[in-house]
Amino acid sequence: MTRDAFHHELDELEEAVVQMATLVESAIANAMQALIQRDVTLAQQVIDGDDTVNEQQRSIRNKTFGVIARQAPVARDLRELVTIQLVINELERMGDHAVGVAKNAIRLASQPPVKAVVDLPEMAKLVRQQVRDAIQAFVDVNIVGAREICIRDDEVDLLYRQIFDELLGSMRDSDNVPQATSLLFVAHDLERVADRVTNICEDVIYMVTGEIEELN
Amino acid sequence: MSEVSTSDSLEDAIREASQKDAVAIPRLPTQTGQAPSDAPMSERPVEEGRIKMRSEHLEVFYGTNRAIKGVDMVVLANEVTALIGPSGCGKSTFLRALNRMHDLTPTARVQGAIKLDDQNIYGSGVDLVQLRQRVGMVFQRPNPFPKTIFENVAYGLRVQGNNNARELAEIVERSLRGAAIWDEVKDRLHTSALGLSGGQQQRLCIARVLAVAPEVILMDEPCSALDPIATLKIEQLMEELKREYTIVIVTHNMQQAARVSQRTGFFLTGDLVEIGPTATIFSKPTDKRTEDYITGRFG
Repeated sequence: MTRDAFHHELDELEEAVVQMATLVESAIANAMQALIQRDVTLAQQVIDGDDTVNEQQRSIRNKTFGVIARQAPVARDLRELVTIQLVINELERMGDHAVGVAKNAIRLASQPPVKAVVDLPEMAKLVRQQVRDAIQAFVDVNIVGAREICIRDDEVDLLYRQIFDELLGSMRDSDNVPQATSLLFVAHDLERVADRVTNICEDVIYMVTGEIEELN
Repeated sequence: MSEVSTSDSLEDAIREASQKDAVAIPRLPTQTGQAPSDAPMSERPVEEGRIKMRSEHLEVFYGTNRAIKGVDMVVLANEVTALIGPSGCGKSTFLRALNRMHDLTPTARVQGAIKLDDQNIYGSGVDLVQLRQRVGMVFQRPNPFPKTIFENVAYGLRVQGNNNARELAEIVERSLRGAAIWDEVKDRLHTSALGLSGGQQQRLCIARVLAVAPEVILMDEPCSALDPIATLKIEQLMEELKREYTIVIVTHNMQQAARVSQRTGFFLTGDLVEIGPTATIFSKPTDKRTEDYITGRFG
């Protein structure tokens, strides 16, 4: 009595999570590009595109409930389905943070440029890599990878503090305050994405071990 | 045995049921690369005072086949213990050893010990009739005798020599109430038990066990011949019964094990692979073989 049809459904759900994550990661990338290149059209695309992310979350959630109701999953199957629900919530909120970056990109595009914050694109790059790796750890059921990703969160936190101090310093010139504030929000959005990566890594560890573990 | 047993002695009915299943148990080839059967169990310690029954390195042979390969397991009082595993894994064989059903199978041989409140039921001087009164059995197919509902329940008492009409009436009512079937049969106690539905017949058989005041009730797939509503009634009944009795159930229905039991043991090719709290077994089993079985990755 192997449950092939059920496990095929699980594979499809996993694939849908990967697609949703890809969408979220490119939303973050596009929002950052819009910010750097002062591209209002691209920023607006990111904002409009969030509906798709939200729709994917709804769709995966509904499918997951359906599978739970029909298949009465247990053990690792049950843990995987619960993990999928948790992961898509994190991804949905990451999508919101990408929108946050995009809105600030639009705001900044209409203001005179301030000194480029070089660390901000670097921070975004690290965060995007973390998102990719966390989803890969989920697909690979890799708890070693999940733990390692969380350790890398320290780099992001360090950059965040540097950027924060730098922007705060630039506010001594009151002309810079509106732009610096917007950039602070961007840095904060990215930092929040990294925190949600940690949550996903904790979910992956729960999925594999059944233990609820606090990372970072 | 046919659905409606034609035997009119309890002993015959038990012998029939036992022999049928003894023959029906298929043997699987010995699995290689598997932990030795006497590997220590990874169960967390249980309170000694709660142990109702205990098997100690139990082995059951059918001829030369070793159907149970040295199982150490405890059954806790006032709980439902569910035994799961694929066909031929030994779970029914193990259950039957708990009240010496194998005594009725000429080719069967049992080694090791099973203790009921610290007394080895395989020790010398054990009264089998008394043992089976203390450890009752409910079979897969309801097997009421071709007698009235009343006489089915009173049967065990009459065998014990009790013919006090008032006392019998009292115990029959109490047992039928205990088996959650009194309201359905109270107006037809003196009609044939064979006129009841399958679910009612099974609850009648449970009432018949309750009448002789057992301590442990063994159930061998008690719902597999019943529809979902009748199944639900038996499951609710188990929940009630465990307050006064200790229950061990063999079931092919894993969701049933998950619903009704407090502890679940997983058998595979004659070994007890794992036993633990049911919530743990169904959310985070320790052994990969358990996980693969309950998630439908083999079996």
